[in-house]
Amino acid sequence: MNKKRFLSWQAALLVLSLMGVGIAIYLTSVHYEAVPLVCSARGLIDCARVLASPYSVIPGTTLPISLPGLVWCVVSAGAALTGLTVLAGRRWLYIAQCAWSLSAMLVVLYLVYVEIVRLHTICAWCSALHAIILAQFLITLLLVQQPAGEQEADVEREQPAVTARKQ
Amino acid sequence: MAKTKQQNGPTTKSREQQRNLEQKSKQSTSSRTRSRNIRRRTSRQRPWLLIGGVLLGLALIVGVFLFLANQQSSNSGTQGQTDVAVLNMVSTVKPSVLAQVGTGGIQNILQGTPAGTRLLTGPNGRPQFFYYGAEFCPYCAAQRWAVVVALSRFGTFTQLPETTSASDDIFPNTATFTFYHSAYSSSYLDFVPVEAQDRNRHTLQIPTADQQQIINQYNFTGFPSIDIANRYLILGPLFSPDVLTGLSQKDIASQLSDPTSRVAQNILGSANYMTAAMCVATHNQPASVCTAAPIPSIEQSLPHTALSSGGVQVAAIPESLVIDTRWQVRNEMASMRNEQAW
Repeated sequence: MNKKRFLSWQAALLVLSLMGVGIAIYLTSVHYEAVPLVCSARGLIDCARVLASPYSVIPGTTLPISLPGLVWCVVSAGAALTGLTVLAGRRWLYIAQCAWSLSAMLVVLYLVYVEIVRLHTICAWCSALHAIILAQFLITLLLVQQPAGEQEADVEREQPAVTARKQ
Repeated sequence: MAKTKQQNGPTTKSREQQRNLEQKSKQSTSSRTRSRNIRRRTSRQRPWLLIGGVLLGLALIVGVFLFLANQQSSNSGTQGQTDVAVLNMVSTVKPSVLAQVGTGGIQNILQGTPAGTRLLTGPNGRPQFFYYGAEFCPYCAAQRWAVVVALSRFGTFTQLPETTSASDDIFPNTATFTFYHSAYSSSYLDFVPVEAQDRNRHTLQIPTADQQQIINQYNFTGFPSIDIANRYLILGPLFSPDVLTGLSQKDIASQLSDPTSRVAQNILGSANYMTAAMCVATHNQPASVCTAAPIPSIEQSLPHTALSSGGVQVAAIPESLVIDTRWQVRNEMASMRNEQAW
């Protein structure tokens, strides 16, 4: 994977994180009834039911669960921005991003369990955020999978060495 | 084309040697490049295999979730006549278990009524426990368990049909009872339930004018809502139906004897709050209930409510209950006509 592609993936991570920030801010606003909820209200997809359930807040508090989601997205965006600029090409950053995404994936799995098994209802906005986190996780897996050696080889390919000696 | 020029001298030799060296170097470079390209192709495929594996794994996990959800729906409670065994378990919870549970960690959401509010009495002139709910409602499904446990300490349910909350709502098919066609008698309280809708959200019981007055006065905007003799209001569920998910009525009732179980703590903790509120309304009668732990301490923690000395019967018997001959209240009225008023 050449340097350009690494940067494209980081740009994708940044865009996804910013989308996540937007959704998390919206869900938090809905929780505090600052904005109306735009979502299906019957059948399997019913955002209101899910967001009104006891699982919509951090256990033991009244803080909406979208708040930690917002924090997660902001940190992800920051890491992606760093990966585009000062820490471009640093493998340890990709590993950190992958670990960060994995932690969010575990929470996503729990929340999906709650929606399907406990509530039998899906929240569309929550699922959009879950999909964003999944996409970020998969991208960071791709980044981490590229061995460091390959980067050097790609650099070599881009700058071919003179092998023939003039006679 | 083979060269036939005769090799003569060191210059030609060295040129040939150089040519051989260049050829060898080119060959090794191209083989290195070839193997690097092969490695690159393989390493490019590996991440995508991993991605595919991860997605497959996630799909399997979601499949397991869907299976579990289906299992829960099939293990849900029954609907129908009174289950005597269940009724017995839920109405004879040991005082020691109730004492051990205490509040069960339940948050106190009871609200006191404004000072000077007249005591709400029922058709028999006793403090009225007015319940306003609906059969489809899962939060009502949870609350009814606590209501039955609490009321059983002041009287007796002889009929308590079983049902489940709506299957298409949150916490679907929560096993519970229905107060529609239930029968309760007590020397201390008048229990007046209204199940406004059945589990398909069709109108079931319509509040009377007096009951509607209570609903309007205290802004009963949702189900369940409870008015305990105009002394305390419970506007909403005391605990989440989540703890009852996937359990039948028998499962739930059998856990009420274990004070450490989450089911018992939620139901009995809520029942203790209701019991304490009812004790305030009944002036701590019966004493065996109202002086037993943890009721006195919970009473102390309830919001202060000014007791009015006079009691006015606000709610008459709902028409639907008069018509329903299975209502014990109606029978109680006939037998209590000559008894001393409370």
